[in-house]
Amino acid sequence: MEDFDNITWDRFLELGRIVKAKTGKALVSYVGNEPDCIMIMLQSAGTWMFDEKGKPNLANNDVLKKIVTIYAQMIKEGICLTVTDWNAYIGSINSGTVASAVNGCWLVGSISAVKEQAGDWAIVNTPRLSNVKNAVNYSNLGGSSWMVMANSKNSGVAMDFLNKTFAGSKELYNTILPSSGAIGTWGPAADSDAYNKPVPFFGNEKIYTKIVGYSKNIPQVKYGVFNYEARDAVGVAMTKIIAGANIDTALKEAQKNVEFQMGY
Amino acid sequence: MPPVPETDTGVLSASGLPDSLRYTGNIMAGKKTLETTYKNAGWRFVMPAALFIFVLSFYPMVQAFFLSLQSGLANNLHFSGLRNYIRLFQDEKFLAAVRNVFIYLVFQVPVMLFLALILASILNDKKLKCKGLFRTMVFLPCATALVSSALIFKSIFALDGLANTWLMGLGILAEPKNWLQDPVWARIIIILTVTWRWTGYNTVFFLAGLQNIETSVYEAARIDGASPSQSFFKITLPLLKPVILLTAIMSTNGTLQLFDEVQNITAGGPGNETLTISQYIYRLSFVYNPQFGYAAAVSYTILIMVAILAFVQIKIGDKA
Repeated sequence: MEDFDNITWDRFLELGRIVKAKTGKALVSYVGNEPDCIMIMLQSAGTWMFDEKGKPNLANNDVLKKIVTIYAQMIKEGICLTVTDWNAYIGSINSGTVASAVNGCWLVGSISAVKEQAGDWAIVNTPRLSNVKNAVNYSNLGGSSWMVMANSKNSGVAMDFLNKTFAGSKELYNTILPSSGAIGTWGPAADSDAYNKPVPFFGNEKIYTKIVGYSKNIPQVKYGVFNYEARDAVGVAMTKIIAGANIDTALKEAQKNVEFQMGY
Repeated sequence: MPPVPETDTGVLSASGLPDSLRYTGNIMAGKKTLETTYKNAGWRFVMPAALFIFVLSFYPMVQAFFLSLQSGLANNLHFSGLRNYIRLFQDEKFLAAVRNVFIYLVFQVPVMLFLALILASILNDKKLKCKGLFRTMVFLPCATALVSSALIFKSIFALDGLANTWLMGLGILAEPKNWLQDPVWARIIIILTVTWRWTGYNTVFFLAGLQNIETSVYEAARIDGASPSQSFFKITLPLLKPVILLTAIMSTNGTLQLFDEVQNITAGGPGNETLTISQYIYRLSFVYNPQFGYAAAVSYTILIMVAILAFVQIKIGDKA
């Protein structure tokens, strides 16, 4: 597993080729039209589909271009398998059709569902982009967030509540992890008992301690309001690029699309 | 007070009722004639249904039109006139959806109606045994749940699904083909699913139409020496014209509003390749930041398209 820790995507591709040559299987899989992997890579480089002012940042985004090139190459070489929907994605992981999964830590629940694979899995950090400044081996995908609306009637009370619970109570995290598998990204939660238990499925590693440790290094990005429109546009662009379209053209069309949706 | 005829001339008047029962225009006479009773009763029967249709169909339609003249996110709507309709033409996703829907229309409707016609002709054969069983089998797909049948078709054409297993077993394919990620094949599979489902429905209509044609017409044609295909094209088709028109318009309407199959099988397909207009409306309302005004405008385009196509079909039907 050390071979996969703290590596770059180029190294990931190399290892993927070795795995494919020896076993004929893909290293990782993703749902066909969903740009999940691209989102992971974007945040690990500290950028996003929108710039700080909230304008779409797809057409002249060098980082996005590099990301899209890597992803397209993974698919072309068969290192990344594309499946039709979420069920097929989970199926490909559970049935061993692919060797690994690069996704949010919430996938642990789905991976642990197959008892026969106990002990065969381990957790490492995400590959990083090799030719991008500030790129790290950490990222974020999905999960839930608590937001207090500034205009709400009792925002002060709500914030106090959250400060005392999700942002202040180790006991809370201690309770919800064993009972619901809810992994929090609050730093001090790593000290609680539940988080420091070894997990048998993952070879008795203390995976939750690891994950919370990773979460300290995730670059913060501003998602913006038009996230889903942009995701969709990037997904469409990705499909065109895999089918052979020019990357610049496809990303320019994606940008035009998002600007259209934003121009209501 | 106009005179009431004392004698019944025995001749039926223009309204089809004998003189003595005709409405004489004199309500104050206190005589409730049969015709008024019929008229009033008719209105009373129609009123509840008409009220429902008005409140649940027409009123929302008018409201939707007013919604389509507004733009903004979620509840922050402001009046913007025809802006939404003008925007439509620059919308890449909308234009792709229209293109897809017309591809489905052009290929799926003629094929389905033709198949339905053939099936109906076969099922109409007097010498056919177990007619009831066959008719049930033909109609059964239509009675299944849309989502279930769509998901089953999806799993048949999945990477490890039945289609790939069979084709590889027969040696036609060397490795599993990703059917649903290929633009052309994804559309073909959707057309297949829709045709599988709705052919039986249209067969029933054609069957009813065929059974209205008297067999003596066919016998006369046979005696005159007409071949089966001649009697099909020169007798059956012209006599079935109203039914063909009805099913064509209904199928056009259904295909233009296609949603369930596409959403469940490809969710819009590789990129925008199988996206339909209804799906786009759904996304605009519930997936992206809700733009209900724009979504209402997109839904009105479907109305316009269906209206134009129905008009064209009726005109062609009248001419032919």
